[in-house]
Amino acid sequence: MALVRFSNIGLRYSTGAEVLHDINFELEPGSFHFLTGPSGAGKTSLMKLLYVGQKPTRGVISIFGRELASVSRKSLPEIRRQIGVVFQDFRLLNHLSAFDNVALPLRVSGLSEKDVKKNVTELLEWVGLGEKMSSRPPTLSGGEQQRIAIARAIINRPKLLLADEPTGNIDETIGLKLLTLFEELNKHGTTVVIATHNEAIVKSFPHPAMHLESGMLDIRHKKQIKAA
Amino acid sequence: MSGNHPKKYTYDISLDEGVGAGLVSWVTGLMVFFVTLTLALNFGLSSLAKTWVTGLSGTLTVEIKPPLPPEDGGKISPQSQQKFEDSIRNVLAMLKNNAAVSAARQLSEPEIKNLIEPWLGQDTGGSASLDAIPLPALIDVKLAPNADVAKLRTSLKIIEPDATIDNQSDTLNNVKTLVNTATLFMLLLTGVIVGLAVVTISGIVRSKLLIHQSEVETLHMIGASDEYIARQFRQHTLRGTLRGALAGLGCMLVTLFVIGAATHTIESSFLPHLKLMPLQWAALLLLPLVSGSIIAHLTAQATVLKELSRLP
Repeated sequence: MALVRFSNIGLRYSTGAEVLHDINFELEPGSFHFLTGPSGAGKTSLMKLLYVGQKPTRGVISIFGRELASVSRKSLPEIRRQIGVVFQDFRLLNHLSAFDNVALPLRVSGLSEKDVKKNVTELLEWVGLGEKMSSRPPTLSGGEQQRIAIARAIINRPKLLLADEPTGNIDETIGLKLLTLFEELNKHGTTVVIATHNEAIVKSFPHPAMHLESGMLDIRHKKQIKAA
Repeated sequence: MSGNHPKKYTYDISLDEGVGAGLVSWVTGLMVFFVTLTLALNFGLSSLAKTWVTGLSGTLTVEIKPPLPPEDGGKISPQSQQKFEDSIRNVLAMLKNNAAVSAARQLSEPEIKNLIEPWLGQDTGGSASLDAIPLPALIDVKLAPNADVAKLRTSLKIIEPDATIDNQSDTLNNVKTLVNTATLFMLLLTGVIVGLAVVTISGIVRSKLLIHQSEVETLHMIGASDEYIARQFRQHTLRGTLRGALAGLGCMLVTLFVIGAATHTIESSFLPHLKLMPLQWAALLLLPLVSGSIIAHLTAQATVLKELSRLP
């Protein structure tokens, strides 16, 4: 059974023109996809639909085997907790320490403080920020902030990991390392979708790409990407 | 620094920062101040009314009109004066022997002057002296339990047809009407104060949601339930409310102390000493504090949940 299924999805904001038209795709459990396309193609809008941050104007979205239209509002947080998101602008809470930022998904899930402390400390040490647990985001470098954002996205061991332009603000070497980290998580069973406009990065990895152009989606496999 | 313990967070949303972080405290402080003032005035008035009612119930006053001086400005004739004194004696004798009366006492001239002094001013001994005014005879009557006032009135009219009996029923009715009207007015005033506070707190919470919209959305996206987010606003509002309510209560107590001290210095035979019962003090201290906190708490909760329901 597909982890995510989009059927005939259309999206428009308010009374404007449709930004996504007839989007159809499925993500199998444990798959790895890039989401590519030029700026303004609708990548962020599609990501919003994927992390249940936006309702489609039409069509059916099914995530983890549940049709979102029939899921009650009270049950939606439970679905969101199984989705890790690395936002393009990180969206860290600046008044909280690195520790508290990473702890957020665990705390909203109701985990005990003892377990929160154990898990967060372990993960922050793993991403190399064990020394900066008490630091607040504004005092950290862009790369460090990004690692906090990633740690926050994966702390809950999500089934689906979404990253919006994760290599946008960092140099290519660190970008490749980051993608290698996402591949590691994918090998442990996490389904990964990475939105990027960087075609070079896409070509460096053997994963299919969902290409958005003017709100239309086209799924390209490795051979097609190379040919393009 | 892996061994360091990260500082415990207070709120996931930076509610202590930004414009209007202390507004809830101000609003609740003012609300508690005015509600406590209204409550204190109500208790004070009820207590005052009770004192008046207790003093007036079970008593009546018999008034025997004095002989009037002749119109040409001459003196009252000795015969008229004798008749007046005989009437007083006869009425007193009747009252003391009547089963409906437990005690009867004629008020002395200084006592009568004291009673009319608030209306006519102090006796300065000049041309406007109270001595120049013919004073009636007043007999203070304490009634026996279950006294038949109508029968007593008939007996009195037989002996002294011109005597009047005042059983203070008009005064009692006026006092009751005054207290009921004041209570109604104060209830309305409390309702208006609470209503304004609810609207203001709701507005403050909505503004805070707008100021911290990005943080709220982030929490929402990582799976925080509406209840989880609302709890943050609720707790923050409650803390601000308690701070404001305690400050408002403190200011109110100081105000009551000042009012108490000021009324002690007023020389007036109208105002007996105001004293609140321990239960009234407890209500005065706790009711606005507890109700203010509950109102602010529920307002914050309802406002946040309503606003969050607009998120996907």
